[in-house]
Order: sequence, then C-alpha cells, then structure tokens
Amino acid sequence: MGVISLDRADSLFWLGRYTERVFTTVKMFFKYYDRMIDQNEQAYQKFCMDLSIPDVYGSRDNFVKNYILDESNPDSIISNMKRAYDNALVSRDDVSTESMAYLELCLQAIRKARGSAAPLFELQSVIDDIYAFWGSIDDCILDEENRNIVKCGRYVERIDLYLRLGYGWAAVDKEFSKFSNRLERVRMGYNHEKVQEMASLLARPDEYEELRRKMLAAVQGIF
Amino acid sequence: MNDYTDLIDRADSINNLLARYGVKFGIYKNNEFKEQLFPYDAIPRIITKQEFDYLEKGLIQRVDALNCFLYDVYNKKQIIADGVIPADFVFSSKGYLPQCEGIVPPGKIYSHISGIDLVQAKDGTWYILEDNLRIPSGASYPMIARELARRAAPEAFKKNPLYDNRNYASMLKECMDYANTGGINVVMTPGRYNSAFFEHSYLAERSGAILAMPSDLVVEDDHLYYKEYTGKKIQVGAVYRRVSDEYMDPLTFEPDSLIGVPGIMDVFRAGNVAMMNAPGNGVADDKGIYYFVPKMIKYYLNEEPILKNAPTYLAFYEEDRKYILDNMANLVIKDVSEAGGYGVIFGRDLSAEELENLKQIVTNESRRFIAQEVIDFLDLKVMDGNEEVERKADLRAFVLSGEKTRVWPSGLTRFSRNPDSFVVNSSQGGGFKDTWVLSR
Repeated sequence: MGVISLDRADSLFWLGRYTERVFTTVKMFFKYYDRMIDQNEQAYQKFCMDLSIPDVYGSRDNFVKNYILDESNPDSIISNMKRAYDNALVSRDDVSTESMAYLELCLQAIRKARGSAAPLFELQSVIDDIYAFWGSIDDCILDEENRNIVKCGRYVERIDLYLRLGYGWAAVDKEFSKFSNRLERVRMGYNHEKVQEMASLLARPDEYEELRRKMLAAVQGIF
Repeated sequence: MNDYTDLIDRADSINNLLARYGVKFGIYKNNEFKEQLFPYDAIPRIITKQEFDYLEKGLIQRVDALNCFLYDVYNKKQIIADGVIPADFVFSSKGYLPQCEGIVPPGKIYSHISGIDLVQAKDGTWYILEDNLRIPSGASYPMIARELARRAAPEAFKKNPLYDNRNYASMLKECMDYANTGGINVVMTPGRYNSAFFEHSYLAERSGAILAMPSDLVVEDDHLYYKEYTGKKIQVGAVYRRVSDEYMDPLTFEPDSLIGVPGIMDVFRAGNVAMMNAPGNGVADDKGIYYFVPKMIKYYLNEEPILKNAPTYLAFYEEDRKYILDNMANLVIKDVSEAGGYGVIFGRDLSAEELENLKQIVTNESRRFIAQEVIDFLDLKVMDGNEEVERKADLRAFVLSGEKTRVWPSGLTRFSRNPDSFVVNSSQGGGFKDTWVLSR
C-alpha cells in the first residue's frame, strides 16, 4: 500500500468526482443542446432543475455560453474541470504528469469552445481526453489503493448524477456494483449503513422510480 | 558546427507539448495568483565538453568550499578568527541564523542542491554572478523540455553528441538517499500557490519522493513523521524542503508561519532527519559574502579559485565605497537582501537626481549594497517569431552534493526577452532554453 495523507486521499477522491462530473454533464449537455437546436429552446431549464443548479442563464444562448465557459459560475463545466485539475495538480506524484496532461487538454478544449458556432465539436475532445485520462490513470497510478480512491470518487459521482438525470435502474445498479467493488479495497472511512441502504433499495428494481430520491440521499450520505 | 535546425522547425510543437504538460510557473500580480507558461526558446545553449570540464571543476571546488564555510561558521568560526572574513559581515547577514549554531548535518553537507548563476563575457570568460544555496529552483524546466524536444525533433538529438540531462531526478534521489537518516524521502512544498509548485510536484514524481504539504508532517518524540490518512505515522528521513528558512518552524523562526512544521528544527538538530538544504545557508549565498568566496576556496581547500567572481566592490569597505560613489553611473548596484532579479539597479539607467539619492542610501546603509562592474555578456541567439535575434542570458548550473559533489551536465539558461534588459528572471518576463553539454 502507498503512503498518502488525509489531504491527498481527499484530493484523489475529488479528482475522481470532478472529472466524472465534467464527463457526464458534458454528455448530457450534448443531448440537451441537440434538443435546443430545433425542438425546445427552454430545455436547459429542466437540465438545471435535475442537477439542482440555479438557472441563472435566462436564455438558450446564455446557457450555452455560460454553462460551458463562465469561470465565475461555480456550476460551469470549466469550473468543474479546473477543480479536477487542481486536485490532480497537488497529487502529481501519484497521478503522474502523463495523466494530468489529459486534464490540461480538456481545459484547452473547453476554452476553444468559446464563441464556437459548433461547441459540441470542441467538447467532443473533452470526452475523448477524459476517456484517455482514465486509461492513463490505470497505467500510471502504481498504487492500487490510490487508484481505487480516485475510482470511488468517480463512481459515487456517477451514481449521484445518474439518479438526478433520470438514468434507468440497470445503469445505476451497474455503477453501484463497480463502486462497491472499489470501496472494499480502500481504507477510507465511510458510512456502512448508507451503503447497505443503497444496496437494499437497488434490490427493488420495480420500485426504482419511487425510490430514486431515497437512493440519492443514501449515496450522498456515504462519505 | 552543431545542427539544431530541426528544433527551430519544431519549436511550435515543443511549445504545444510544454503547454500540454502544464509546464508553468506562478506569479503574483496585484495580489492575484496567476500561472503562466515559461517561454521556451528552441535554440539550445551549447557548452563544449572541454568548457564543461573546466566549469565542472570550478563549480565543485566552489560548492565544496561553501559547504566548508557553512560548517565552520555555525561551529568553530575559524575563518573569522583568522581574519579572512570580518565577523560583522557574517553576523549582520540576514541569512545568518543563530538558531542553527552547533548543528552538523549528515556528512557535513549543508548545501545539497546549489544553484550557481554564471554569465559568459564576450571574450569567453565565465563569471560567477551569485550562489543560491537556499532553495534554488529551475532544474525541472530544462529536464522536461529535453524530454519533449526529443519527441518533437529526434533528429537533432541523433546528430549531436550530448549528455542526457534527464537524470536530474535520479541525481536528486541519490542525494536524498545519502542524507537520509532513516525513513521516507519527501519534497516539502508550501503549497499549490507557490510560484515553483510545478517544479516541486514534478521533482517529487520523478524522484519517487512523496510530495508533502506542511500539514502532512508532524513531529513526535524527536522524529518527523508523515501522517498517513488512516492515522498511521511513517518516519521521514530526508526532507527536500522548498519552504523558506523563516517559515520552516514556527517554534524556532517566524511564530506566525502557517506553512511550517512545529518542532522540525529540533528533529534536525538531533540528527533525526536530513533537511535539504540546511536552514541557515543564506549566510553563505548572501550577495555580500559572495565577495569572500574566492578567499574561502584558498582558506579551506588551499587551492586557487578556478572560476572568477564578477569584479565586485563592497560598500562596507571605505575604499570600495569611495570607488562605488565615484563610479556609480557605470556600475550595477545590488541590494544584498533582495533576490529574483529585484533590487538590481544599473547606474546608467538613473537620472542625476536618482544617482545622488542612491549614493546617499549606499553611504548610510553600506552593509546593504554591493556594486559590480557591468559584464558585457555574450549574447545568445533567440528566436523572436521567425527572426533570430540576440539577447542577454545567464546560466544556472546545478551542483548536487551527496557522497560526492557532482555537476548536472546541463543547467537552466535564462534569457531576457527585452532587448535592452540584462534581467533574465522568469518573474520579470524572461524565458528559458535547454543547455546542451556536448559529450565529445
């Protein structure tokens, strides 16, 4: 097992969370953007509601511009990407310069989307680079526990977002299984009861829609 | 004639790679922290093997003498007793720390990583500009630039016989291992918002040390420990610290420091951890003490200095002060308490009134200033867009002291981007280039 401090464990965990937050919200942004082209200009309002972020945009065009690039907006994609990068930066000796480069490329791609008539085109690189980042993490983080901490962050964020954004039971169940598998292999402190509760709730797939809020509360109580 | 045209052709690719790998330094402007890329110039500085052999001997000699001086000045003080350096000069130095009296680090090495700044004059003579024995930075930049340049322009490295400079981290690790008193190696950084954080984190990664924030470290039972997140404590044997002396230990130095480790100096004093570099080294890299380094070499090593100091005058000595006041318009005046290119004043740039004011200050605070003849630096070629121009440049050589004292076969060549400026520091807008040392 590697040697990591409490702050480092926290940084690795949040590196996983923020990277996943960018990944899943960019993918969801693709869907909503597509809808807003010619179907429903106000579709972004539901997106904000599902994510519980304030709708400070006022129009589709403002949403597209600010949600991607406004660094003063704590919910924007670039703000989340910068947080991911900052958590990686203080963990370079674990994460590796090689892996961090993919996060730097994500930041460059997001900035390139500024003012683009086709922002999805630029944001596609963000998706590609995050895939590459995870591949690189598997190769470059030599310590298994440290790798598992990052992955715990990744999966807990993904479950949280999937529950909020209306993903189906099968998707959430699959991610929870991956999460539990990683959680068993780290020495982080967490709320065992909440993990149990989540497992019990997922064991009732027929009631998934009614239980989604309870599941979200359980997941949020794990750490 | 060395051929580096491939590097120039691929300069954009190398700069893109440097951006991709986040090779940046931080700077505070108007109380705001900003990170910026360190401008890289693709034309390398080339040092022949013969020239490097000469520099290597001179640098090893100088750093060995400086380590002898640090041991002496914090113990017997024989060099003062023998009248080679005036006592006032040592004890009034800001870098002299009475808290370090009597401390003898492992192997009597105080300066494990020394950054010696040199310039080459137009006649080819190398001069030492200053010694940096506290926390000299900059090795990581040419190290990663070489790695990326080899990717972008492999032909340039096929054609030219060079020493590989990517071994800096392993040289650093050897020093840490040698000094280690038992336990893990850590690179201690003041934090994310330090101007050299890239270097701290990169050297930790490459040397296999743990990058530690001060809050990760704790002193217990006269030993230093790294706090594991499970609560377990792991003994630390060597700290490559990138925190300034005054902030290292609030129980010994600045009591309000939030970036130090309380009690770490007691552990160091007890010989239970190596600190790299040792606190208190500032007394030896003081711009005033610089004047005495050639004398130290003769005194401790009984050798003639191989490398020359720039012609220097101490305002502290009456005769020198008179010379400085009479010739100020032609000299460069340096405030010994400043670093990073700050406090450097070229007399020729001052108005008559400003010159008079400065003369008054130098007279009143003579210990604070040195003056040097302006060396006509050898200009180096630099690309300015597509045009080749010439700019002032210096060389920071890195000398690492462990079982042996060794010179890294490379260095940080910094250049001024301003055609009228001699100031090359990154904090003042300077750029850097790789330093090639030819292997034959």
